[in-house]
Amino acid sequence: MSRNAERPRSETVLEYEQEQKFKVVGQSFPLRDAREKVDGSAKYSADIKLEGMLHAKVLGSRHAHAMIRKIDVTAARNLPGVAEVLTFENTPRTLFHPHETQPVFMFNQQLRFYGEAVAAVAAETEEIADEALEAIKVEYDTLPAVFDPVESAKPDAPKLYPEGNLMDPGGVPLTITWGNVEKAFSEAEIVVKGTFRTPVHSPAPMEPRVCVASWDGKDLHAWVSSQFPHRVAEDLATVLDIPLSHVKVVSHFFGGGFGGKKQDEYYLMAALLSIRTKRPVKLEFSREQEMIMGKRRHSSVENIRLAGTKDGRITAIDFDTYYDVGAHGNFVGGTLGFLESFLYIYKCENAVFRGHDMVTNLPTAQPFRGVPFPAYHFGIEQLVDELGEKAGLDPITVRLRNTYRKGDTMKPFGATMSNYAIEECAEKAAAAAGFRSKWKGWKKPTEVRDTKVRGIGVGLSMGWVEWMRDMSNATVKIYPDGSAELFTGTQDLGTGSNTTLCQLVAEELGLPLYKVKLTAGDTSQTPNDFGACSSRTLYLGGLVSVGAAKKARQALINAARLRLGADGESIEFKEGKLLVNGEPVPLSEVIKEPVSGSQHGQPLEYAAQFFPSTYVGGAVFHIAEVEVDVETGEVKVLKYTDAQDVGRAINPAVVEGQMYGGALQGLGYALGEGLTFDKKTGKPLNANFLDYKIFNFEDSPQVSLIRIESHEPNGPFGALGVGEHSINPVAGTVANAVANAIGARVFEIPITPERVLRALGKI
Amino acid sequence: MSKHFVDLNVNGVIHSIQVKGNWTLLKVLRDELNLTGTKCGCDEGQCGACTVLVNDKPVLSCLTLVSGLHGQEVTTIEGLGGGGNLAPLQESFIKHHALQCGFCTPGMIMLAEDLLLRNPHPTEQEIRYELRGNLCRCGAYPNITKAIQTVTARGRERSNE
Amino acid sequence: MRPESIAEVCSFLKEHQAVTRLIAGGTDLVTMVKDRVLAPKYVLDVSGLPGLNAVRWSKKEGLAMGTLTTITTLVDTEVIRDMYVSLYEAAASFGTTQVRNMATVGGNICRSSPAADIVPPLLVFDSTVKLVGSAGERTVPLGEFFTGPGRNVLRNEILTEIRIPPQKEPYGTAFRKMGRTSEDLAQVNCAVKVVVADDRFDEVKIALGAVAPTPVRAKTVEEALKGHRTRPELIKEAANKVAKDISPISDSRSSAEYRMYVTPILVRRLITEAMARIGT
Repeated sequence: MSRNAERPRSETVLEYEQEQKFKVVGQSFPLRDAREKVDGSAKYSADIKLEGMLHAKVLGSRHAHAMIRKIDVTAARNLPGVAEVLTFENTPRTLFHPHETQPVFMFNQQLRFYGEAVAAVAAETEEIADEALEAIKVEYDTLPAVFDPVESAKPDAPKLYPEGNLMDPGGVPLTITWGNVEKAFSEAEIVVKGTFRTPVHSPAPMEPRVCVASWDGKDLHAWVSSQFPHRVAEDLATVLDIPLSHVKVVSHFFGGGFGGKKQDEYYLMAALLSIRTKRPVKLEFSREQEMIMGKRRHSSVENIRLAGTKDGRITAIDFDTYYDVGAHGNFVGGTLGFLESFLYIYKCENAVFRGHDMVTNLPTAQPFRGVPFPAYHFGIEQLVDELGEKAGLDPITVRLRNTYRKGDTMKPFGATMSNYAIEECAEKAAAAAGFRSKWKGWKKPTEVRDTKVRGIGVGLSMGWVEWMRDMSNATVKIYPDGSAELFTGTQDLGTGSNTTLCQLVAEELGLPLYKVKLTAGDTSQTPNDFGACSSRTLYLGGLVSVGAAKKARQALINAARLRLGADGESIEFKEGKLLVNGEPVPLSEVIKEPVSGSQHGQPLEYAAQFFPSTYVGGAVFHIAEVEVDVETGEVKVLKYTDAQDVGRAINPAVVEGQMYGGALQGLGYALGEGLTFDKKTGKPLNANFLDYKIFNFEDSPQVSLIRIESHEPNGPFGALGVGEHSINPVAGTVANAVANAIGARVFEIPITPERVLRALGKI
Repeated sequence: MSKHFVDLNVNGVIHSIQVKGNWTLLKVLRDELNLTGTKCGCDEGQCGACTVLVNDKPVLSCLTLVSGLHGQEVTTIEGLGGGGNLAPLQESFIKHHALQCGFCTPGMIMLAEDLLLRNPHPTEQEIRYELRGNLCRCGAYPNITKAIQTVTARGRERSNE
Repeated sequence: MRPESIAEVCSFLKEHQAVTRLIAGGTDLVTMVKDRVLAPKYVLDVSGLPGLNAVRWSKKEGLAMGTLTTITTLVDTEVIRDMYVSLYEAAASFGTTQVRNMATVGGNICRSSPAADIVPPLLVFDSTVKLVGSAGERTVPLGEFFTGPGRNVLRNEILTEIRIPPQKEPYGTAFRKMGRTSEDLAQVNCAVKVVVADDRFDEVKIALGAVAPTPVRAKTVEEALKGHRTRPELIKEAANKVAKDISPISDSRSSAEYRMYVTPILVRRLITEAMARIGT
């Protein structure tokens, strides 16, 4: 276990003493499902093959905004081998209510993005299904379209919905404000500002989404690639009018989601096709469909101003942003971040955060790793640097001057920070990156060699772990043979939760890891959990798993008391043994059936709705070193340093995998990724891996990971969630490093060679 | 399009199957032979998840027409290791956490097996170059490098030998 | 269909050229068929044709590569690394390991993409290609083979061999491809070959890809340098003239503007690099 000598002392000294004896927590156990993954036996949803299975394909709209005037599927239906064709005309008109996007029908008559589903076909083979799609005749009445969030907010913009294009609750931009912002700006000694633009960012998991659905007349069994299996089951039950107890959703192996795979129409289509044809149906997306009909990060136009004192203290933040949440998006795909740690990143007495979540005729947005934080930090980190420069402070000092600390009472609702090890993260990152010796001053490259200049830049963030706490559930059973089993409704996306949650239960019960079985990824066998997102799985899933283990242990002890008539005795369950007055008693003498305990997410105290009184989230501090070729504009990341407080690493290798994965996606966002669309037609231009490039093995930058473990008292064994946090500061950190190297700022990502040359005034 | 027979040698077993001229090896492996260890990530040769060995050479099975494979030897992830055991590289992947969601893993392992046979002690730079055609979105690259560098290929054993 | 001889291929092409495609590695053809860009009625798999995947070199004859030579073979062939290092560099920078194993030299040339990586080095070495049809054989300079994006002079023929003639020595040669990522299609790729005598450019060959409808020679730059002193300022000035030789477009990889801007820089750097390599 990695230890950090000067770790702040927790409230309970006892815990620190105890942790020296952790047996399972803190070990980098290999993933318990790794064997199947390496030997090819792991069955992902696309690997499921059922007898008589039909193949389904989806036809997408050819227009970004149109009404279907007429749709003729006769020719398609009549093709030999076609079993069924679905359109808006022959499917239930029951709205389906995803948690993160608008309510929609399985098929809409009003199509709001190029590629939106128009029809679905089930056929004997994929080839016949493709032919059938081509035989479907659609007549569209096209409507004017809008592809930009600022344009979408204008009064004369084409309307996607009768109520308009603004998707914030109450029909007004989501606004949180405190203090007197205008006064602060008028009195400010320093004002810095900028407009920052970020692109549509595709999660691009390696596994395209897929559903295999099988209806046997009574029960629906669906294998779905979704982060929210219980929500999927609910959707199927609601829209297809099947009792929930007759719907089973399975996802034992899942090829990556990152926020993009949650609630979609395609599994409704697959299930309905199965019901209609009375045969199993497999509906698999192509890579192009995954990128268009899948979900993506909002794009944004952020107008930010900072007011500060001449010694570099922020007195006001004015953040006004337009988020493009796509055709069916809502505020969850954009301003959701305001409800997380957005308001706490930098402290100030006066602020206005205003977000316009605008629908556009582009694919739908929903939260993708970090939600709006990566865009926020792209802007705010550059302005904090500008403030630092004007105040004559270095970039680390200006940040530490403006961030909260543990115990601080925070604006605007008076919440306090639980832990926030920002100083330690900053110091360790600086040491690892050699910041002090490399930093030569503002806009002064750290090194110049011929046409190549080097620069160093920093950025930070604050994580979050609370989302849908009251929808966390776990059950633990203890068996007469002394083993245990964890039943969790969360979903392992490759995030390792199948392993780490078991580690928590094993530690709590004093069992070796191999004695803790796991049931997950099957809604018929697991308690209802919200699903995997928002960095909540290890933290909230962990709290309820540990809580359930405690209850199971108590149930065992109660059973022992009852069975042995041992009212006054001391009964413990330690290291897999039942001890009555210190003497071991075989479990089978006490229980013939397993005992169980279930835990539900415990309510928190709130300072205001959505804002807990005690804020829990980890500190993140990043440093980037880049080299820019000022002739060609090419940017190379020489070294990237990610220092993060993870609370406690339940499984250090898993945690570091998350840290690295988030940082790498952030580097892609900063330097090369972005879905583009034709300005006139809204047609996606690069929705495939030839044109949309994620970092490959050779180009992936070196990332140095520093794990700080401050022990979060509110987390399971001190752990924090970490899934998203390492992506947040990356674009801002890289932008600051580039600015340091070339002496000019880039206000739009990705930072392509062309944008660098434009910043230098060369093209 | 009409079908014709092809004798396909996969992992040492000869399968006589009816295929169409435009069927890819990937489709045949997954749909006809039920060898689903080889994954389809993009179906257009850009992600590497479909990597298998043909005559010991790593190729993209999504771009390989199966009609041309008469008499060729195909090895998939299921054919690595032998008799229920894992090959050293597979064990190394597990041990070094060289995977998260695992979708890119079979392709990575097949490519890495070939690399180790040609170059038993690759440098990090060589591994990065040789594996650049295999995308991993979860971010297992550094651990994959470690997994490869700490093992030497022993040679592949066919699963039914 | 898998023909067993070149003659079989030729007679088939004579009848069915318009609806036929040849496949060797398949990395381009299969993709294009999947993307519905092509829908050939017949596909001839020529990958089994005997005698077409060998590389031969002699000082007298130069280099001869059979059309089915894979890109991996180019990378692994020592004489290419020693004698034609820009061709080696192009082959090594080509795609990915799997693609290099599958793709063939002949396939890459016949695909006739303006961005084909191995073509610029072949051009600066004055390569020729042998085309065989039922009407007979002919040898065509590679520079005359391409007629447009994806188009070439093949007439019911199969390309069987690529030859690099003996070169004037000592020479220096270099290749670089610029791309968003290491394995991406080129934003611009360039090969240069120089021979210097008495401090003057005796021979200057510059070939560019991905910046015109076909791979092209930068004739304006070559003429501006040939016979002149090898001064850096002159090289820079000459390289800046490359705008006359190219007509780039915008695509997913780059805007036309960036290609126009960066090509002279690439040309200048490669001339300098090639000069530094003379005699090595």
